[in-house]
Amino acid sequence: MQSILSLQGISKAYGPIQALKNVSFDVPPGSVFGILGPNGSGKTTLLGTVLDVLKADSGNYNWLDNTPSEKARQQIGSLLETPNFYHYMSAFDNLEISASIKQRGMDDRLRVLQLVNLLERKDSKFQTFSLGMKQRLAIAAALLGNPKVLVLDEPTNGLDPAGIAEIRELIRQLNAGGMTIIMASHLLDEVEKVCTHVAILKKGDLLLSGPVDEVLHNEDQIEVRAADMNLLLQTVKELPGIGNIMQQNNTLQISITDGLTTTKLNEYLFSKGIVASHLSLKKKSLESRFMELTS
Amino acid sequence: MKQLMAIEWLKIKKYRTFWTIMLLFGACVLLWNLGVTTGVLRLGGDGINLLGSSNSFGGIWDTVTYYTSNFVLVPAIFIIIGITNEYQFRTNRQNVIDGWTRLQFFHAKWYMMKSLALTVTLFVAVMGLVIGLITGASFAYIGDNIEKLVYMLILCANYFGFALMISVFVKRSGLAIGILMLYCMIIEMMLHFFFLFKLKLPFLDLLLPLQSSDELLPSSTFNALLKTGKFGYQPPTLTYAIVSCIWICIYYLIARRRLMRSDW
Repeated sequence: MQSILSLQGISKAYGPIQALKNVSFDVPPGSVFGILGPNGSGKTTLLGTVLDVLKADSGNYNWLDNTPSEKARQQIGSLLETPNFYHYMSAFDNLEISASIKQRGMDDRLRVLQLVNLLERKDSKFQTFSLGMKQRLAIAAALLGNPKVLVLDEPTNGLDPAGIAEIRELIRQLNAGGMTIIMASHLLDEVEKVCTHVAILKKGDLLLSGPVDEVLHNEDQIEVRAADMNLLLQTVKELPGIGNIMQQNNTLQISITDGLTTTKLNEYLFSKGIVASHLSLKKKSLESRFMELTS
Repeated sequence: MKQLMAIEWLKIKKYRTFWTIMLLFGACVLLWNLGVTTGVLRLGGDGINLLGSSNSFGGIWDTVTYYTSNFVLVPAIFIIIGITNEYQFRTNRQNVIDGWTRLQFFHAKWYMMKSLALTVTLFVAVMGLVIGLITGASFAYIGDNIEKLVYMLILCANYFGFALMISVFVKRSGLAIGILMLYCMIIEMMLHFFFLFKLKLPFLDLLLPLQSSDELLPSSTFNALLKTGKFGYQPPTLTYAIVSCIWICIYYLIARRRLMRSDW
């Protein structure tokens, strides 16, 4: 299989607002693919489009090697935006409707309710559930029939910290079992912890896509100070493997990209007659990398 | 079709509002028709009863279908609630996400509408038989006016299809019910009387979606009154039946186009 999902030039506008602009990328099989972006970047619109609840203005998409869209959706477990269930029906009965539409066996309902810790509430009406329980039920519905692909839009919304950890662990386990997971989130931490691939959206534009290590690679930074800051700056600029250099509060912040360590830098400065009065390694946060990309 | 209807049934069977509305409808229709056909409910004096009473199947079918047609707005309201609920709780989206096509979702609702029309017609048929037994009508003449049951089915499908079409456009139950009531009880009624009494052209009722079906099951008292006036050409009942079916097809096409092309 070449790709689980392939998007080619998807564009979508809501009146004057261009929600998606010519977005193209492929989701490789077996990946946990994060769609990342700030609020209003077009993540949910993108998922809504590939799940056929929204109509793209142009472009097309293919699921599972050109499987017809509705057949593909029966093999995909999806949670889009909010949990959508019949409020007057129990969790168990709601899953019966989902299973019937997916053409899956009814006997799987107990398994998925067990997976999300809702078994004891299976006969409670959906309208009596808390937000976190509704979210769990939506995940249970998505897991019916052990689908090949799971599409999750902000899957940890409404969950408490323990619930968030459980869902992350569940995602890891499912992915380890071979399931491809496509997940939209604005939570960097979530993406960093579970995703193997990522696409970053900003105001409908696809900024980057690819493996997380490449797209959101963590650039380390070295902070250094010396008595003569001008000489320090000139000397550091001549050193190979140096990225951006910023001077803040009488300190140089040096982005390093090519195996440069504090030891090597110290030796180099010493050989040039500069004694560093302060030298420290700082990990650049994923958040600052994301802010760089999206701001 | 069978699978779509089975899933719609799953949605309906545990919905208390559905049972409440249908029970209310059934009870009102049954009591009213029993009251009228047995002569318990009367309007008028000196031996004249404007509501009519029946002791033959010809009269029973005429009476029960006409009076039931005045109550069909009640199940039409359920059609609106059933469809707008899907929008309100976004379960229409979930059905598609789970693997239905948009057309399957639409057909599920359309079949549900047709099934309800058939159920109401069957209910009227059974009610007519029971009333026939009670009033001692001769079963030898059970076929007299029995085509009224087919008209009943067309009328129900027309009202319910109209309600379905409004629902997919308006998406909010209160507003959709308001529009249905306003159109049915005021706008169309005014146009009907304008065509009839001002223009004296009753055939223009064919242009009114719901009135074209109402003409299939007219009040026998009102019909008698009409015959005393001078009005223009009145088409035969078959014309009203055909035009009603055309209106139902128009609702189908408009609602389908809306659901296929819009965002959900």
